[in-house]
Parts: sequence; C-alpha cells; structure tokens
Amino acid sequence: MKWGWLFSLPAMLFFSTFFLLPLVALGIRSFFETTGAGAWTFSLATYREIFTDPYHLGLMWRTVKLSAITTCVSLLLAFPVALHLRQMSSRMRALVTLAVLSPLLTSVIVRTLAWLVLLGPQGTINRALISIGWQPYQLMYNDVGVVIGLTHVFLGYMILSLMATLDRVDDNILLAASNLGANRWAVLWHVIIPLSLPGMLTGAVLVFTMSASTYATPVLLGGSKAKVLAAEIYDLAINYLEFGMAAGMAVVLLLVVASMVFCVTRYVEGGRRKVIFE
Amino acid sequence: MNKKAYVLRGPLLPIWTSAVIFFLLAPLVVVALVSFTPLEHLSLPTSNFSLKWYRRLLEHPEFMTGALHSIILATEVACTAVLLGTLAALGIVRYRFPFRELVRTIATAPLIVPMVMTGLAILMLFSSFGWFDQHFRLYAGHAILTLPYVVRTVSASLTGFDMNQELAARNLGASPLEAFVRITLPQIAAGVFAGGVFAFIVSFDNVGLSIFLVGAQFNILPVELFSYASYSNDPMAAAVSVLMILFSMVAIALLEYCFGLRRLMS
Repeated sequence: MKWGWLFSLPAMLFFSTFFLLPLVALGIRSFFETTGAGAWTFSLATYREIFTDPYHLGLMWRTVKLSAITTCVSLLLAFPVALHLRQMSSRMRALVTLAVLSPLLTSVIVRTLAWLVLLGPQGTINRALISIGWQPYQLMYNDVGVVIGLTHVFLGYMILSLMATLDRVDDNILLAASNLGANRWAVLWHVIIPLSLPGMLTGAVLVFTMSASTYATPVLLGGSKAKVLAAEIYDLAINYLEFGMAAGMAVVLLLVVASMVFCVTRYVEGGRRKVIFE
Repeated sequence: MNKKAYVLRGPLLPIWTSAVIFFLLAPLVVVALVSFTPLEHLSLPTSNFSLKWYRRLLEHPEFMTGALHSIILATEVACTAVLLGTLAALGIVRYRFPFRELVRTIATAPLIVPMVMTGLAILMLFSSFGWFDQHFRLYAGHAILTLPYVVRTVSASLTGFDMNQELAARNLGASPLEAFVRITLPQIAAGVFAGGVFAFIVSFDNVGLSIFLVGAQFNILPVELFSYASYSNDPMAAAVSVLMILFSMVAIALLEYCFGLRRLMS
C-alpha cells in the first residue's frame, strides 16, 4: 500500500512538536547570549565557561566516574546471577526472575528512599553498627551512597541484558570445551564470557546512560557533596533561572552519554548496534 | 531449553544469587517495617507497630491530590501512547517507505536523550510561547517518553503476525477497518495492552522529566514524595512508599498473570 506510512504520521508530528523542536531550540539557545531586552547575539560564552571552570569540569568528571563505577559494580553483581538463571529449573527461574525484576517496576523514588532509611547518619545500618560497639560510618552524602543507590535502581536492566545473551549460548559448545579438557574456570573465561560480551556491552550502555542522566537518586543520596550534572542542570534552570547555562550543561550531558554509546557500539560489530537500541 | 547439558555446580552461584536478591529486596522490606514505627524518626519498630504515619498522611492533602493527578495523567498518557504508538508501529512494521529507518530511530530516541534534557527543553520552549499549563506540558513530556515502549511492544507482536489473514478477510468482503478490528487487533492485543501498562507505569513513576514541568497548580505523587523526602526526615515518606509499592505490586501481578514479565521486558 502506497500510503501506509501515513499511519506513522500522527506519532511523528507529535514527536516533532514536543521532542525534536524543543531539543533543537534548546541546542540553539545554548549558543546565544542575551544582550539587553529581547536582543540576542551568537556567543560561545556558555561553553567557554563550562569547559574552563573547574567546578563544572568537576561535575562532569564525577558524573562519568559514578556512572562508570555503577556500571562495573552492576556487571559484577549481575553476571553470576544471569549465569545461574540459565541453568535453573523453569519453576525456580520464573520465581528468581520475578524477584530480580519486580523492583524495576517499583518507583525509583521509593527505592531511593529505602536507601535513605538504611544508609543515613541515623539509619538502620549505622544504628546496628553502634549497637555492636562499632563506629558509625559515613555511607550517605558521598559517592558511596550514590553508587549503592544507582546500582540498586539499574541492576535489573543489567541482569536482563545478560540473560538475553547467556540464554542463547549453545550448551554443546560448552560441552565441547569441557570434553577437550577445559575446567570450569577455563570454560567460563574462554567461552562463556567472550560469547556474552554483546550482552555485557548492551547492559553497560544502558546502565551507564541511565546512571549519568538520572536526577532523583544522586540528589537524595549524594546531597550537595556529591553533585552530578543532572542536579546542576535543574538548579541552574529552576533555582537560578540561568537557562542559557542550563541548556549548555544539558548539551554537555547528552554529549557524555552519546560518546559512551558511540565508543561501545564501535567495539561491537555494526549489526549489533541495533541490539542496543531496540 | 530448561534442561541444560552443561551445568556449573557448587555453592557459589546460589549464594551469589541469594545475596543479590537480598540486596534488591531487603531495602523494600525495611521501608515497609519503618512505616509502622510509633516513633518520630526513621527507625525500625522494636516493640509495637503503629499506623500513626498512615493516619498522619490524611493531614497531608498534597499526597492525595498528587496521587489523583498522577493517576489522571498516567491514564491520559497511556491512552495517547497506545493510540499513536500502535498506529506508528503499523506504519513501521508493515510498509516500506523512504524514511522508515529514520522513523524507527526517532521513535526510540527519548530513551537515550537524558530526561532532564527533554524536560528542560519542553519547559523552555513552552515558556517562550507563553504556555504555562503544567498539566499539558507534563502530558506532552510523558507521552513522548512512553511512546517508544508502545511502539516496541506492538512492533514485536506485529512481526509475528501474518498479514495474509487480513487480506483473506478483505477478500471475504470485510472493509479495511473491519478487517483490522476483527482480525488483526485481537491478535496484537497483548502487545497493545502491555505497551499501555508500561506507559502507565513509566508515567506514574517519572521524576527526572517531571521535576521541570510540575508546578503549584499541577503536581504529581513521585515529585511530591521527592520534595517531601528532600526536606524532611520522618517516616511518612516510608508510609507513602509502602502504598506505592502495593500499587506497583498490583500492576506487576496483573502483567505477570496476563503475559509473563520476562517476555515483556526483554
């Protein structure tokens, strides 16, 4: 049918009006500076400030660092679980999948509040430490708290990505390796891990991008001591009404996320790129 | 599929899996317990349980209004996303046209562009037009954010659908619309419904984008909870959390019962 594409038209119009247009306007706005009432001039001042001011560079660095650590921790925690899920009986598997994935459908705010209760200076963990005679430990309002919170929030996505590839690993290959004399660590290291690399990368991209751009969790668990880009964008726009700066920082955040996606997808063969986005 | 020929034995994997499940679920259990504390600060109830914080919730109408607004908004958003998303998926999956790949890419873009950026962009553009309707701008932002989920689930169920069935119906005299409603729709209904439920949940939970678009006239529950938790430190936030967990448990049970969670999310 020649006019079949028209079905996609309403959604595309909606997208152009409420997504593409605002983003393009935001991009343009970040290159302009107001010079008096209603007068605008082209200027790179915003980006000059962002890329020379140590405060903003520090925010960028912390955002990348916290997201990278969260990604690594999630991968480490998720891999054995996905490996275990692969060989469970179907009943057990359904149960564990439900336990692992159901937090994904619980509000991010609720899950962050849970960590607030646990990690706070007067929180459950510190009270327990004190009651057995230990020193309380600073678990919140620092990088540790943010990483714990982000890992809890995004771990499920990593497990899902790993499950998708690990389930497709052919048992016969593993049996072959084992028959040829490889012990289980060798099978794991030389066969299972290389074969599940695409899933690891998909999961890493997902967790990294979501960690880098998430707002509520770092704000509640990191406070002003461990501020990230998303929090700074909000403060600039809503508290200081510095829309030009906020727009510039948002563009920088997008660049951080996009460059990560680009770097990782370049490592995976061209055809796999789709896997990550769909 | 479930009978694996190569199995890694030993206590390591089960221990690790249990530890991860504990890490994921224990905090939620702690929140539930804390919400029943009779004390004024965040603490585990030691001797007696109390519903004090649930009662005190009634003195905070902002949570009730927020919840109501959230439900209204999520319903509107889910309906829009289902309507536009299903149509878009029909166009993308079934027909070949020049910009098909582009459309497909754009349709998934809101999942990659940081939500704070989308929120800020919508706020700035709407403000520059003089539109300050908080309900409408939230609706627009959430609809953008949830459309990709519907496009994805509907595309998935359309890919397995044999279009000749619809042709057969047409040959037997059905109108195009009739053929779609009576033949195609029932078979992709699972995907459409799942997409709608996803859209509802995503909209109901969203903070990152909403925080830019809410205001005094129209605020939603997660943002109310976020603001409350950022300036006060009492167990009421835990009580609200428990109610939200119950709400999402109902949603999870519904999804699991109808379709199986795993199939939907991969």
